[in-house]
Amino acid sequence: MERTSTGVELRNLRRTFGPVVALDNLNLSLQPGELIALLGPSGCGKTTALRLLAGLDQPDSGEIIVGGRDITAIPASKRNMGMVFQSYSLFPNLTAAENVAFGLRVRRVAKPERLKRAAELLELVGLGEQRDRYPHAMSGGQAQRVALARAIAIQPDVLLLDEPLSALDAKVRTQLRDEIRRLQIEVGITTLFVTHDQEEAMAIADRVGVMRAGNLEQLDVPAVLYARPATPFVASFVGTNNAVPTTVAGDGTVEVLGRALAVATGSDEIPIGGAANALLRPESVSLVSRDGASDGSSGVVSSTSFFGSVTRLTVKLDAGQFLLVDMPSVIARDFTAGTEVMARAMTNEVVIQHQEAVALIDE
Amino acid sequence: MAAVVRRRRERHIFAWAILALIALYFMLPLVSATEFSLRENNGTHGLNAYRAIFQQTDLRDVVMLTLRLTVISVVLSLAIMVPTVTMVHLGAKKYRRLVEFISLQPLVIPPIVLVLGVVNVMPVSLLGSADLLGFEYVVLAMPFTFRALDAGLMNLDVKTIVDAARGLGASWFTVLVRIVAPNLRSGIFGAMFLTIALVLGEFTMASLMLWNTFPTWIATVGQSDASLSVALSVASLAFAWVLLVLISFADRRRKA
Amino acid sequence: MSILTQSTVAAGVRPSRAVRRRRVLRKARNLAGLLPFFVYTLIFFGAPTIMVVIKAFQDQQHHWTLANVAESIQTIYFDSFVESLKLSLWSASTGTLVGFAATYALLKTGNTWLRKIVQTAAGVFANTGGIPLAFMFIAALGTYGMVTEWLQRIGIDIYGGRWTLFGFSGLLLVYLYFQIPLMVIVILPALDAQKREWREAATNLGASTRQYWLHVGGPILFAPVAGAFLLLFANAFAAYATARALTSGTLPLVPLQIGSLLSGNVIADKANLGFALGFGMIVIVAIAMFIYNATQKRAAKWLQ
Repeated sequence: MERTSTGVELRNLRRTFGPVVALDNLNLSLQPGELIALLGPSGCGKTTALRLLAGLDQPDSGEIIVGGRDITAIPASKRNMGMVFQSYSLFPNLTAAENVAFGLRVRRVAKPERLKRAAELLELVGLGEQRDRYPHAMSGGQAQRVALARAIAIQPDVLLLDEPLSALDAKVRTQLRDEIRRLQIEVGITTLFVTHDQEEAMAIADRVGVMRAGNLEQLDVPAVLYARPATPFVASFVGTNNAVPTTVAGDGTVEVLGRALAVATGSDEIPIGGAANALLRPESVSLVSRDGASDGSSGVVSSTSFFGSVTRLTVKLDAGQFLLVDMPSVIARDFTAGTEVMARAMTNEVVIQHQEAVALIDE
Repeated sequence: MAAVVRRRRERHIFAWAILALIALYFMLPLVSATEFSLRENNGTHGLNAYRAIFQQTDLRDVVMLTLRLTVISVVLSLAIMVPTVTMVHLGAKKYRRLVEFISLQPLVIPPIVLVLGVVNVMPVSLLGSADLLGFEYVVLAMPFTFRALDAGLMNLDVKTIVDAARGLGASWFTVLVRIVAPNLRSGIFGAMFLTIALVLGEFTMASLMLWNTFPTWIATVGQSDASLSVALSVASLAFAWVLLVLISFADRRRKA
Repeated sequence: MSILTQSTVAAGVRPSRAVRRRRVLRKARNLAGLLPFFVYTLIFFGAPTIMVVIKAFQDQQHHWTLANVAESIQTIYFDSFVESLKLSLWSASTGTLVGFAATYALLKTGNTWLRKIVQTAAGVFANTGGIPLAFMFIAALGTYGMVTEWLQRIGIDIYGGRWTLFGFSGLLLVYLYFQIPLMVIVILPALDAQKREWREAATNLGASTRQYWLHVGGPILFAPVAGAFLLLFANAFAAYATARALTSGTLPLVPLQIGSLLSGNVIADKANLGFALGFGMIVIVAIAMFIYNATQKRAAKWLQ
């Protein structure tokens, strides 16, 4: 489909609800045709940002620019954006086709043409046969597909998705998320996708913005977000981490599992001698069996969880702490529960945070 | 920006205005009646009319009759409806729609028509006893008692609980008394209060079957003593309201 | 079915005679358990109702006749049906409108504390009727009522013309006291079920307020509102106590006519006429309830 994509810019958006600051001067740019995922725990402001962009809410201050035009004062019904909600998206008294055609009907498109277009779009999302079905007779996944078709039927400048997969079963979630991405690329529409599921965000977004308490802590491509988190919050929210207690040594390094590691950028400022938690990814820990090995920290495998190609082992270190270690399942076969091991960090630098920062995620 | 914020507040003011107006409609008669009942002969206000209630010679008989009817209605209602509703949720599931349909029929047959039939079909001996009125009140209350108990059991998945209990060796009696009844408690309370409220306010059948219950007595008094009857009305309203407020509390506890 | 019989059936084996006998016994036991209910309702509800219907078509000598029914829809009795229907339709429409507005306004404020109060109050007011209600209004709007005197003080004499609290419009005003709360109780769940997302989705797709209500909001609410209207209609139509208390029989209304006939206030040979009137009432309310059921079924599906 040939179309020109539109860029979006959110400038200094601020929104408060009484004493609560939902958005604290948010600045965000979406490149034309890009899919940005806003990721964060409940209350971080991601949905507020989305609703401001949609026009369903008004900012206290700031501007919203779409395609170079300032649309801040334009009402929601005139913004030409497509939106998919978490649940109850569809109008229960209309069939799937009528739902999809709704935006066109409101724009006074003639009946035969709008129903034809609706049929096309339903085919596009794989629901050609469900044309005359009512929402109550559809599964959650089907309903969201129809909602998606309905949103793009009006050829919007921007597509907004408010946790569209959160109410669905796991398997449907992964299927649908890939379809949304496929469709988004095919149509080339600039998209803002809000979610609290970091796996989802990382899987489909061009860039991910991690939000916390009304602020955008980091906006980057998924790989960078994962490997080089800008703050301890981002480090703990994205992916799993082991928090290994350590102290800052005289030369500014920290000792983790028997090795001195450099402190990565984005860490908290901790003085020499101060206590810290080093955030170590499970895949950055290597295990070898204890006999013959000397460096690392000793421990015992206490349990294993099989995830298909990867197995996650829980290792109880002699010092008392539990470590999560990921390794390919073929190798994990040698590390059954009870195996005595030596654990070593396989990375050269690590993000550290204050030890009191225990409440990593607010949910 | 200021215009938008103002728009948000304005809409709510409109809503509150409508509610205030309607509240006025409901409060005025209430306030008027209360004020009237508190008027005294020399132009001041006092509780004379209410004190007069207790000086009525008929009061004792009327209260005793109303009380008797209340007890009969409540006991019979529960005795019939609790086992019935329990049973349609447990074993006789397919009868549930039939029982529900029958229970709702008293809403279709107006009490004025029902009393016409009762007076003409019941044997004279039964008509001479006030208990008949109690029996009919059970019928009038049926739509509400059924719904209260039915709703309570629907939230419960009775079948599973009972199967579990029976599987563990409990007898039917134990199951009913120790398992179903306690869970039904708020439904039972709701049914009870609704029946009581109905009995305290029922006028049609009582007056046409010529019984001197509290509501009919108020009407008789009204023909001779205005302030006394208004005081009685306000008192009976207040009492019924307290009951109904209690129902909503029992209701909300169930939903919690 | 107990766990035992279920598993036997699931195995696809024809149940043994013992199991079949147990099942029949169980069915009998269920029916026996429900017997008190059926018998009770038959005696104290079914019998009187059937009596009314039968006697409507009989004369004093127990011969079948249509004379009663014929007379019930003539002259003054016809008038009373008309008046009753008028009163019921007016109080139902007004109650529906005002009750809807009140509920909509309530939900708009979003105030949960207010909502709880209104719900409790509605339950209380919906059950207010008869003498207490009549006296309340007399105290407010009667010839020496509190509100009457207030209005007189600012120059409005509501009794100056032909209006009286004890006429048709007065009774209508009083009926609203329990009709409006009944509407609120019935429509609150339906309005509550209106999801914010529908409105927002519609707005987002470009619909104006008018378009939303025309294509989505209105159709969804039609069945609950129509159902509520019918309930209010039946409620008003059947009402006796309030009408009696306020008008003491001066207004021709069917329930009042039946009451008079029952109290022996009319000539003896008109006795069976009362049954015909009662039968007429049953027919009208039954039709209303039938329509009510029909409208609810379809809508219930949508709002699952």
